[in-house]
Amino acid sequence: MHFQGSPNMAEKRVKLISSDNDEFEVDEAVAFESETLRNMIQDTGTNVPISIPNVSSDILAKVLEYCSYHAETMETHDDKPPITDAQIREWDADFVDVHPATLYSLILAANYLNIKNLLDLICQAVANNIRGKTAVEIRKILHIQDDFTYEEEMEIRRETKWAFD
Amino acid sequence: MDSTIASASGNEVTEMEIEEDEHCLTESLSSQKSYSSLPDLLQRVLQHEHGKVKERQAFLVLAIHAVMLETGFVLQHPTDAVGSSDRCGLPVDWSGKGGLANLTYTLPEITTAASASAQTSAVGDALLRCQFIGNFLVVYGAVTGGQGSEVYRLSLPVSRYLQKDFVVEDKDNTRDALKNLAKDGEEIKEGATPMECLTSEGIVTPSKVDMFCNVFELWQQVKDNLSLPLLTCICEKAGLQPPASLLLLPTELKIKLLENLPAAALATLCCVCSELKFLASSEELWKARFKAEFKSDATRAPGGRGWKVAYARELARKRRREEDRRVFERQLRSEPFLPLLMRPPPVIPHFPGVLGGDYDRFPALGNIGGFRPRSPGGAYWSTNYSGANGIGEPDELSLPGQGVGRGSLGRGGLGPDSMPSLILMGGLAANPILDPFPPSMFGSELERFPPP
Repeated sequence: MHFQGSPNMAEKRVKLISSDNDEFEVDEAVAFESETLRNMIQDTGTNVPISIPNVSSDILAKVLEYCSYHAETMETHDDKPPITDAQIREWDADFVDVHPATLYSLILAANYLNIKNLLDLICQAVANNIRGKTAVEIRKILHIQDDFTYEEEMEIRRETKWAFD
Repeated sequence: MDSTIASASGNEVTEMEIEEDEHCLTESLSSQKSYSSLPDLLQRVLQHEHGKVKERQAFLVLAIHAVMLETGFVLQHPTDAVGSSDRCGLPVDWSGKGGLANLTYTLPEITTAASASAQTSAVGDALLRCQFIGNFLVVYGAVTGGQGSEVYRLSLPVSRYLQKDFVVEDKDNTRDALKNLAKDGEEIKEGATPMECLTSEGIVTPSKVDMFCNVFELWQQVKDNLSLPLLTCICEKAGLQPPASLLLLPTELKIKLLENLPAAALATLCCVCSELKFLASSEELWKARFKAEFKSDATRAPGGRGWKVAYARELARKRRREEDRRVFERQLRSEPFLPLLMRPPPVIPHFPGVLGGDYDRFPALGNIGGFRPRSPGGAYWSTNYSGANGIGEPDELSLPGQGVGRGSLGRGGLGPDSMPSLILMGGLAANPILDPFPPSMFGSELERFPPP
């Protein structure tokens, strides 16, 4: 799988290996979106493939999609108009429109690879999923068991009554 | 002889009271410093195990047990006596010799799946082995059965999570302490003399608050390093979907998620499950919400009961103010040209056919200089009877003088002191003493001298 950066910049490519031994090759600039990868590349150089043991290939592909898009938005082209903030926001919104399970895997990957913007984006998306829902709905979408006793539940309802008026 | 005993016990009482006061003071101070409550499940486990725990260190095992329960594990009882006992309980002989404890957990999903397929499942259980080595509690966790299981190891310094000066009281006192803990000290043991209650509270309450310290860190350690990896492992082996993705995230990421939520959503999350309640009640979160919402730069929570409580109280106050302002603005908008005092009283309960208010209380003043429109039934409609004229249509014939009187007294119109005025209008209007100007007197005048 190849994630193309800008074609006119002859630059170094980096090989990444996911937990299920898929190989990804990306531009150095794309990998540099991740703080963890940046440190690794600066330590070992671009000749050695970097293995990422706790990110599976489907999630890594998604993460690299994000990285390459955002690396691209950083570059300036003479022939194309620059990408506006509104366009980036729209792209981001599409990006996080995935199944919740994928979102949680993405959070873990973004946390491990230390991509701050991606982490913020996904946290916001998960928060938006939760916001405005009732406790029962949240239990349903997050598959959480209600483990309160009746007395505890009453107590909490009394405490948090203000939030539901 | 008797008198000396009495005086001695009298001294004791005062001493106890002083001790208690001091304790209250330190408690309030410490709650200012770091307001943290025990997680619900830990409280429940403590309550269940009251009096059984002899060693100080063993309370740490109880905490780990509570985390395992919270993660979704249930204890596997060796005697197959499942069902009757509630899931918080530990087996009777769980605390083995030499500070060694073995606990076996399983998932309810696995048990039901196994009983449904009527065969012993190949998947084993999650085994915890807790051992005290010096000042550390070392916990090994592994999933039995299957092949190639990883062993998770967690080592907890006892003194970091258990208060140093906390000692296990003898059985009775501990039970009382936990009783107090459960009932928040409001209910007193039946049949106990006041003296006994004082004693038990005076000795025992310190352990109630100070038994654990750094609970949050302890929770995070056990959860991230022990119970969650075990859960992932056992689910993988049993081919189950991990139960809840959000709860499987490391604690720091959960907190990061919660930081993105508004206060109302945090409060909702408190109602979802006990773990989220614990996380979403974090003082740091609510402190930030409080400061952002009320533009405050207070360094400690007003009221001394934590930021969450302070937030709820402040919000209620703010809402009340806003409500008052809205009512005021609505009044101003609906009658922009009327002077403030001439407005009919805004809050009048509707009693069909019943009149009240100052017009009826001061009938002699009510009609001075002002003719009142007549209803078809022959009765005067007071402006206080909003059902007839409507709030937005004040009596045009009232003079300002009358309006002043009504405006200042109007709100009390149906109060207890005006009860006699709650008389049906039909009876009242015809009474020549109470109403000096019966309707028939002015029937013709109204036509001849129409109001300007």
